[in-house]
Amino acid sequence: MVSPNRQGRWVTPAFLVLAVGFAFLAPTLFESSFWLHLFDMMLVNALMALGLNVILKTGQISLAHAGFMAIGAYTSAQLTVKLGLPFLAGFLLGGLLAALAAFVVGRVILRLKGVYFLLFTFALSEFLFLLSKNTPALTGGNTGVVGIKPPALPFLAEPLRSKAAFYYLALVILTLAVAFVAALYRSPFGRAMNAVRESELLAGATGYDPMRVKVIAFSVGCLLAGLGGSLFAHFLLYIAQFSFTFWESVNFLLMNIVGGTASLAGPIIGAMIITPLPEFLRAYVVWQQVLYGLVLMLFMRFLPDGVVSLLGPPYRALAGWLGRLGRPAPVEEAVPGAGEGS
Amino acid sequence: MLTASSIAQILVNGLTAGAFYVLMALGFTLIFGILRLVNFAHGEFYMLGAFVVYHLYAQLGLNFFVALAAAAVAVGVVGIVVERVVFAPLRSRELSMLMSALGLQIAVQGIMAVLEGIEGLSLASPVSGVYRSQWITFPYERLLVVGVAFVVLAGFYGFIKHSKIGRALRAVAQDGEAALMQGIPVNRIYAVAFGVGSGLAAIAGGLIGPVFSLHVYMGQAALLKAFVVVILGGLGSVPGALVGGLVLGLAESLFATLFGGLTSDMLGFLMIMGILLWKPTGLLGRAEA
Repeated sequence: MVSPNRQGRWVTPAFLVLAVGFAFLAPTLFESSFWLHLFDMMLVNALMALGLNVILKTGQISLAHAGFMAIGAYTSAQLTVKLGLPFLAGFLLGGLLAALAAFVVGRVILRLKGVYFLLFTFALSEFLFLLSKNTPALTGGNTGVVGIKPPALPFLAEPLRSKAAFYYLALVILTLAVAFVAALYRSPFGRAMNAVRESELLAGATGYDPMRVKVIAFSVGCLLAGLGGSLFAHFLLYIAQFSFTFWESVNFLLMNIVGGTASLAGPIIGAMIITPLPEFLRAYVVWQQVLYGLVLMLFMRFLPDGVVSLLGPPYRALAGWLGRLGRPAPVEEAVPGAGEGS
Repeated sequence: MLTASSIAQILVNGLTAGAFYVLMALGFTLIFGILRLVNFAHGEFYMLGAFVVYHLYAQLGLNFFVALAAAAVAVGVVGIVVERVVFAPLRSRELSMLMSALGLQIAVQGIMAVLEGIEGLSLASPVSGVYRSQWITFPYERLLVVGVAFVVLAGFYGFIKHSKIGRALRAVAQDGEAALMQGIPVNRIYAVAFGVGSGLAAIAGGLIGPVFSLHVYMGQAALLKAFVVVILGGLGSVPGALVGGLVLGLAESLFATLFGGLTSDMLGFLMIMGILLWKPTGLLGRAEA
């Protein structure tokens, strides 16, 4: 077991500088609106996948991520459309409300171990979906919310109408989020998260309250989901229920796994790979669902540690920390988060 | 106001729903107990069972019970193949298995949508008529659900309790490594468990087809019910599936009579909330799932 802290010390900043550098050039390299739209969605999805990565780091697998994304999206959309709040206020409040909801719910459901948590979050996402159907005052029911405005920032004269302009906003937000999460993972709290994932019992023995660590991580993860949802709303300018289904939650999980859960680059690379997938499968509409399912199964079969595991030694060293999620585990650790004694 | 006869009616309806939930949850909990897999594709095997019964019974005119048995066997065999091809290579990688089950779910739905179309189909019930007494009305098609569920449960109990394979299943569920050292062909047991679990789901699907309409996406709602039941009863626990299924069926039936409009999914959700607050591993679950 390589200590991830040592290895990761230089990798993430270097990756960040390079990635941001390349990312800033992207819109100038691709002129087409199709690609720009995909790039924008990649950044928004990366923000939400990053949020899920924070939750996964404590060993909890949440399938309700799209539900918290929806909280952010609807909050920001309604506050800006109905009450005329500025974009930034809606954006931040959307994230905060999602985090608050996660904090309240998390205190109850994070007592659940491993698979029970997973099942419960699945039920929760279905429940939130039903709730949004039955509260048209909040969500506009089946019609959704229309007339959302593109992001307007106080220090800019014009709202960010073009896809390229939105791209830079999303890139700045994502970069800040990655820097924040990287700092979090390096802090003592990040070590506590690792400890809780490896063994709650031992983590408790070293003086951390595992429950507190899990609740905070869940809230931070859902904060990012809420912010992502809010960005999503101000990008598409129209939101409805079908954007926040259970399969969207599966997609965020898939982004983490395909990219690799073991490093911050994972969810971002994963978002870059998974976001365009439906577009490329569009030519086979009838078979789209089948192909998506097959891609998912083939990935699990042949690249369980994600694309990051192909990127050479520094990342492979990092890929140790979520080994339990990707490599054969000892029998007593059969369920992620459920095996207490190891 | 609850009269004696309405209470009796609540019991009858609850028992019918409960019998169906038990069938659904039994295979799900068996597969988890043996393979440690949260099988998100379980609802799809239920849907496949419904369609097999539809083709054999409604279109080819076979006897309903023959069609039901054929569906159980056919889907069970599909389950065995799926386990060998999809899950066996991922053994003990829980997250990979889980994601593959999700992939399988969506792929099977997609294939069936291509083959069968996405319109709902209806299926004439093999029995008609209603049993009436001064207390209750019990449509025979619902009685059929309860009866078949009872027979299947009795058979399942005998199989688990007294057959050689059943003993091996229990051994693997308790401790896979120890079972392997005892010379039990664990890999074969995984396949059998998946096959039996899928077959049980298929029976549930074939039974419920005549009661509701069938369509390609019917598995999702049934899967959610199975989830609620296993959370109530505890994952991997067969008695838990039995108790959980009946509790959920009766509670839904009671609430439907009292409050009408409340959607049953919401009720299931609130029930789990309550149970988990009180006991985080389900009613009959063990500390570690």
